[in-house]
Amino acid sequence: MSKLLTDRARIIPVLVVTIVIAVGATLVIVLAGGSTGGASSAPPPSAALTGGRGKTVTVHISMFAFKPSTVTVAAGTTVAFTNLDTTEHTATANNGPIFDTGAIQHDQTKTVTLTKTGTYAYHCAFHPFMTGTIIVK
Amino acid sequence: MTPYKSKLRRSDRIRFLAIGLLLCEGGVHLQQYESFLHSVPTINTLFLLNAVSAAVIALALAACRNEIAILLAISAIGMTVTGLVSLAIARQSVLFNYSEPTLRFPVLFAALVELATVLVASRFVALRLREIA
Repeated sequence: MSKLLTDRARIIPVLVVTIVIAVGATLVIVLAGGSTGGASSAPPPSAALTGGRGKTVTVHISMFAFKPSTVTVAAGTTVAFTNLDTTEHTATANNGPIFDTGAIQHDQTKTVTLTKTGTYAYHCAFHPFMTGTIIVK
Repeated sequence: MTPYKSKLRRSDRIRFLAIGLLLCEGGVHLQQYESFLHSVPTINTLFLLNAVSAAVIALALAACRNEIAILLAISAIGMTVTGLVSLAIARQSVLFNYSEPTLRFPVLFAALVELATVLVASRFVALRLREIA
């Protein structure tokens, strides 16, 4: 009986050290490896040229991704961002203050209208890994 | 008739409470990973890691009641405080490309559970050290 208790007393510290090493090693792998999986790994297909002055094209924000991630629109088209996630998002232009929707709440829609031709890359200010592009032709 | 007296030490009752809170903490992280955050790079892995670590520590804490239990409780406190600090940073700015601007119900619930875990685990460590002394 005493041998059993002694064995148990020996096993427990070994078990704990093993668990600590396993958890620590996983943490190191995660921190060293950076991102794994996620919305940015498989961008949704881009939309064909749509819209026109006075028309609206909708980009849905769902599961931390802009869908479609790339839209090609005619100059003067309004792009509407509808947030389907329960956390807030933004659509913010990468290069300067070209457009910024500000915080978009759950089920809320905010719009931007781009009149000049060009390619506008944007991201979510709260979740910078979420990116998209609007091509204005 | 002799009045019933619990054979459990006070520190054991606190330990069981800590185990329950740890499992709850891990459960919330697992639920958030599964339903919401699995597509968020880095954060998804950290949430999964938290859930697994909480379960492992809870099970180990259930199996041990001696000095090892104190170390396990301290590791639970460390893990939980890290989670709370990470949440505080994510509420104010961006952490690992992620921020939490909305005080969603699961976020509030997780924060309360984590706070309770820290308090209960700390109480267990204090009681157990007093018993040993």
